Amino acid sequence: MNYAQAISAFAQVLNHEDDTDQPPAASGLHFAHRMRHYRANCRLNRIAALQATFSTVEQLLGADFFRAMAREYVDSIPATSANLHEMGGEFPGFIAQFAPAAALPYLPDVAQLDWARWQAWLAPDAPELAADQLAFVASDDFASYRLQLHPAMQLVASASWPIADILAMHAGGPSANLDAGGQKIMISRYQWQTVSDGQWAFFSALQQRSSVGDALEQALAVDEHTDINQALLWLFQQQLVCAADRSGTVCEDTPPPHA
Amino acid sequence: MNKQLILSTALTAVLAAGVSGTALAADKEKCYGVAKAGKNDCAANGHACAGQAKSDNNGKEWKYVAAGTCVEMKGSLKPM
Repeated sequence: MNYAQAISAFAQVLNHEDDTDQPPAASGLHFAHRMRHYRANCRLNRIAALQATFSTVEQLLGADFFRAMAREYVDSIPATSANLHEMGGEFPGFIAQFAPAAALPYLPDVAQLDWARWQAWLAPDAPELAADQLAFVASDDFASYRLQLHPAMQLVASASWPIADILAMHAGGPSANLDAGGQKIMISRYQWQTVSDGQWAFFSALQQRSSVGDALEQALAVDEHTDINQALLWLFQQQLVCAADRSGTVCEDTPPPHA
Repeated sequence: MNKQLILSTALTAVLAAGVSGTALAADKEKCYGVAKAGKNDCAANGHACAGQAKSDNNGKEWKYVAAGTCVEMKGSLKPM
């Protein structure tokens, strides 16, 4: 048996609970018994990873409910990567169709928010463009510029639920009022904040490589009083711009110096 | 306000604020609660046999009763 066959046979056994007919162990515990331990450890590691990523969802549900739901997810959705950091992208969708959680209709959106914050945390580094680098830009030309935004930047919207208030509540804020309606959030590596519908449109357009002028138009189409000053300030204060030019240079991390 | 004016005003505001971000965003929040430690640690269960205790637990026996902070939130729940 070569390595590929061995690993595939092992995976076969791991994924099938009924292992009574498997070959006997060479020594020690029975094979089936040992496989049960191995299987349980795999499952527990995946559940622990979900707990670390979806911390707001866990706080909302309590540990018992969360673990039970996470276990059903782990059992029904196979891992697609050996890297636990990458597990959980389908969790918001899973929660949305998970019947016992149906009484808490805001959960999928909160899960999406947790996932976006996790992505923001793990995104690669990128160089920061200091605001004073824009000093050479003639103000008439600015509309034709394209801003390359940091890969950590995430935008999350909930059509119906006050996700920003819910998140703030879990950072020590007051209880969220679920009747407050939908909210939109911009997330950077270290912080997040509520943004208006117009600012959301502005950021979305920039993220999709629209020029500053086109992004502005999209924002004004949503709300003619969109506070663009504030939106642009946020981008620079949170170090979310890594390049600005007409050609749309792509942000790349500076390669580490050779040792 | 026309588009050109909006953009030149915004550009001026950014330049005036400088890199240091002296004009702080009013409603910005720190990203509390994000676990910063890596998760790819197979000893995370405490000891190698953590699976032993849980190995025969079936998820179905858990009660699906929300006991967390969702109970603090006010407002009527409406279907999406």
